[in-house]
Amino acid sequence: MSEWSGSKRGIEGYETRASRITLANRVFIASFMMIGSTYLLLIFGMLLADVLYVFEQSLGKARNSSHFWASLISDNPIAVSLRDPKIQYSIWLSMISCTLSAIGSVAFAVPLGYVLSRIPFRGRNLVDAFLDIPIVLPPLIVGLSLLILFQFAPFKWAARSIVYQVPGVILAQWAVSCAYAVRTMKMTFDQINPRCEQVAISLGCTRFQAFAWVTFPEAKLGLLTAFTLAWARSLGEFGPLLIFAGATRMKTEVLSTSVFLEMNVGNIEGAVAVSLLMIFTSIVVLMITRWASNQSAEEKASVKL
Amino acid sequence: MICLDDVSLNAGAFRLKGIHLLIPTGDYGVLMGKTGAGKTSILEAIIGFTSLTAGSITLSGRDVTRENPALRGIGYLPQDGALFSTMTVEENLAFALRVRKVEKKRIVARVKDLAELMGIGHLLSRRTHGLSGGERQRVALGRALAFEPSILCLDEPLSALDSETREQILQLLVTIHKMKGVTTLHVTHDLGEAATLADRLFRLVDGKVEMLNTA
Amino acid sequence: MLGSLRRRYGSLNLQVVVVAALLVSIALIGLLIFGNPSRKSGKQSHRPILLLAAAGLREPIEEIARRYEAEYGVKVDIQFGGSNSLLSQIQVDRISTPDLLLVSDASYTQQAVEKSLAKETLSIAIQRPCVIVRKDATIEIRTVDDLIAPGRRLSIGNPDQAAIGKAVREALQRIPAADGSNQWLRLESSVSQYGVFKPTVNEVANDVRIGAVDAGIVWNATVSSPAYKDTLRVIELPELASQSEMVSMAVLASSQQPTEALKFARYVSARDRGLEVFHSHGLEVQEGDDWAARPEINFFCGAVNRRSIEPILEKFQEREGVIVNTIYDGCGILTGRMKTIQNQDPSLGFPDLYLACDRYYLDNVKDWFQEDVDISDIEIVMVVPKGSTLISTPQDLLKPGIRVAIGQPDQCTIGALTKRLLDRDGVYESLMKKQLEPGETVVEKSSSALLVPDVLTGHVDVAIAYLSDVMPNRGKVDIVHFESGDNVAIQPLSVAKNSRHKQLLRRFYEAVWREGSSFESKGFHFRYGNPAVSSAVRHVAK
Repeated sequence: MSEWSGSKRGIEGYETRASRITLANRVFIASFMMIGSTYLLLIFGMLLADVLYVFEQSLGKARNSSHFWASLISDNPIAVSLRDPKIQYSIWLSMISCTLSAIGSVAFAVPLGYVLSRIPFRGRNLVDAFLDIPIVLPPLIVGLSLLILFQFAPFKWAARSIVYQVPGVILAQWAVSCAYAVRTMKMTFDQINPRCEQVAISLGCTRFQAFAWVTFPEAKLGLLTAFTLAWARSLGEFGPLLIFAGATRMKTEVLSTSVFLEMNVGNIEGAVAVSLLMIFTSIVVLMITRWASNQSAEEKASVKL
Repeated sequence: MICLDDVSLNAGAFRLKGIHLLIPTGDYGVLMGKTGAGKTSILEAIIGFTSLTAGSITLSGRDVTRENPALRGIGYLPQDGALFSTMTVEENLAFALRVRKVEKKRIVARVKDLAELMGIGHLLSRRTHGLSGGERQRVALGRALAFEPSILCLDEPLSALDSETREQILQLLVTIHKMKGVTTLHVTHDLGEAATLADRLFRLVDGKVEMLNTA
Repeated sequence: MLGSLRRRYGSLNLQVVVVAALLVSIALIGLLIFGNPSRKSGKQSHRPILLLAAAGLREPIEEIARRYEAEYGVKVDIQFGGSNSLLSQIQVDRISTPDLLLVSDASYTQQAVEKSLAKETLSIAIQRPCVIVRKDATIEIRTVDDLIAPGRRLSIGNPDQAAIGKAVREALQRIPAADGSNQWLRLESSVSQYGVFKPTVNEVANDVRIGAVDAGIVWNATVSSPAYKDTLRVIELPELASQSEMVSMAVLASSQQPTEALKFARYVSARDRGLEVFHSHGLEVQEGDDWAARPEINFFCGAVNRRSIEPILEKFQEREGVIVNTIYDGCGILTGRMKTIQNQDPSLGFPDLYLACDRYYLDNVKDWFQEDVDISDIEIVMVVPKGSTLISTPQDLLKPGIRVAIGQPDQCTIGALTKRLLDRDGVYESLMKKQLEPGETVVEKSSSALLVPDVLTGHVDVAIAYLSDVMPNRGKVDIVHFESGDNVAIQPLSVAKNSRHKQLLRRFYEAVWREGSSFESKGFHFRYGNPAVSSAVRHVAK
């Protein structure tokens, strides 16, 4: 045994040391997992509470009716909400506006992210910080600022067709989700080796060709992430929407404001039902984009013959 | 030919002043120096990604100091290979030709010849992802040579390879140079490479380039 | 195969993504515009609209119908007759289904409404009776007596058939005659002897033009028609001119397409459509709404009114074919929003219509609104969990350990009213002090709808809310009443001075007036049914 095999505890045998280290490792992993799972439990608990609440309400109604199972299926708050034409409209509008908003966000995020990442210019840091504003500002202030902006020309001329109208919904969603998309795209471009672009240029490309043929394909995964992020953010957007687009039923009502409106009339179980619908929708979208990104990651790793 | 005349440049941490370098047409130039002395910066200046604060660069008789890097006609092999990872080997090789809008048939033929020359004919439809170090360098070299450049710039092409592969690629470089005779600037910190390849030998020390007599 | 697709993909990446994104976006936008599930348009009935109209209004209304058809492709078939004749026709005819009635005297449309033959009425323009003679006539008529001079041959409208006749009768009945009767009786006998009663005002004018009679009495507007302008001369008699009558349109109960009928009626009474035409034909037009095929109105509504007003709103929008953008919120927030809108401009979001939770929140924006009417009132109560005996007076709110939920005084009306209610005996001040003590819960909400849920979930022991907030959960909570006065919120409905759709809004007032039960069933006390209040609005609605 060499002089270096001892420790504070004095000279210990190999076996002791091995088991001590194994135990220490297990404790370490376990405590990290415990800390992490506390948060997971909170999320899970909230979801479970929502589900149980709705379930409880459904059971209550079902017991009072003559046909238990039929009532359970058709009278529970979720089914009732889904039948309501206002909620149906809200779902329809949410799907469309979130998608449009996400497409718009990515459309602006790609150029902006690229410029911020690759093209040095004076005040670049300032612009970078500036783009954090929609993320940091309280949502209500974003909504209010938009409202006030549209009092001034040239925005004033478009105000009639935007403020409190459907385009206003998309605008308010886009205003916030774009900032998140830009962040993501900038990070994506930062991580792509600029050398590849340089090689492409040295081989005779214009900067645009280098971007389109070399950089952009590599950024596809980041693009998908940015789109998903923007979509999810748009779905959850509430404050700016309420102020700028109003929450007029069958017109500018989206899922997030539906929850608010249902609560406002004291229809708590309706509000929770719509919340569950939103959660479900988000999970579906997230899963789809996960699957798609896994596909392309796999493709990168696969060996083509 | 490659000619740097009294070139000064600022590139990040490097400040180089009064660099003189001349490689006659068809010669193989090797620039040596300690890692981190600024050799890459000189290469980048020649290719056009770093601007000069003073002096001029002439390539094949043309003053390219202010010229767009896309026009300089230099084949560039950067330090980490930088292959286009979303394209196949074939597409990598064909890239320069696609940009120049060469017709498809000719591209296919040229890529085939190039691949054979580089010894990667069997890899054409592979993605760049799972290739070995040596294979990557072959692809990178082929890509750089695809459009028959008049100048070739190599940044430490052999440094990341194991000794056996290094030998192979070294031989490849010799062969190519004998065949094509392209004016080359090869940057390295290894004396052995220099000995084998160089027609002209330079050393970057304390921000100045000195020419050494070849053996 | 997929591999080669991917390879081709590799170089076209950017283009593919951009094109795909554009196509998807265009598809979505198209869907948004045309696939809107809430729009029920597409059921454009191209059935013609049947309008019964007073003959004297023939020229203007025919022109308006022509313009409407050109603009919207909908035909308007018009049947002409004397105003009263048309009214009688409607009463008797059970088979045909006319859509609209247009008469020269609003009392007829009023009668139609009273007899449940018509629903909505719209005021259009004013006409005044005047005497006409041929331009080349030499007779002098300066007073009513001149008119009734013996041997005078007159043509006037039959009071039981034409509005002009009725107007003349009413005007002259008021004037006593030398022989103890009134001027009308004298005129009547004179005309019976020497003259003629005609069923429509056009026929009166024709009689004068061809010289069959010496003079006639028609509307001032009748003479501006090209047929008569050059041949007739007007003589204004003040006794007649003071009897102005309102041209009025009514939507008939028999109509099978009330929304389409209302759309045309709005067109006829719109400032920049029908009224222009009437004006050019010599009538004195009223203040009309701006024309829009599908008008949009901004409605700011205090949250407390939501459940009671929503069904009325839905029916109104459906029937009138209009869109009411309704914003429900605490009144403090609503008035705050109003203040941010420049020039109270409805196109920038200022409300056309405002239903506050209490007069308190109308008073501080009073200058921007008009015609406010108290619709309903609602009691403010203390809400406690079922079976709780902890609270019986306001003082009990201050007991330690009692958790309280109230409205925030600046954001919502319930808050402001609660403060006013509790300010007696300094309870509110003490409650605010209690809020600051550690361990005590006094939570302020921004809207009344958020108060009762806290009691239901057991987070507070008492909440002060509107009785209407309690109604949906009546069985799950108990109510404690306030003994003092001031425990009532009164909801006023008002119209913005800057609104461009005031006529439409007045019809909304009428819709509200009819639906008292909607309020009563939600716990409100309906005030609008009060005849004194409702008649005030009916006058205003003229």
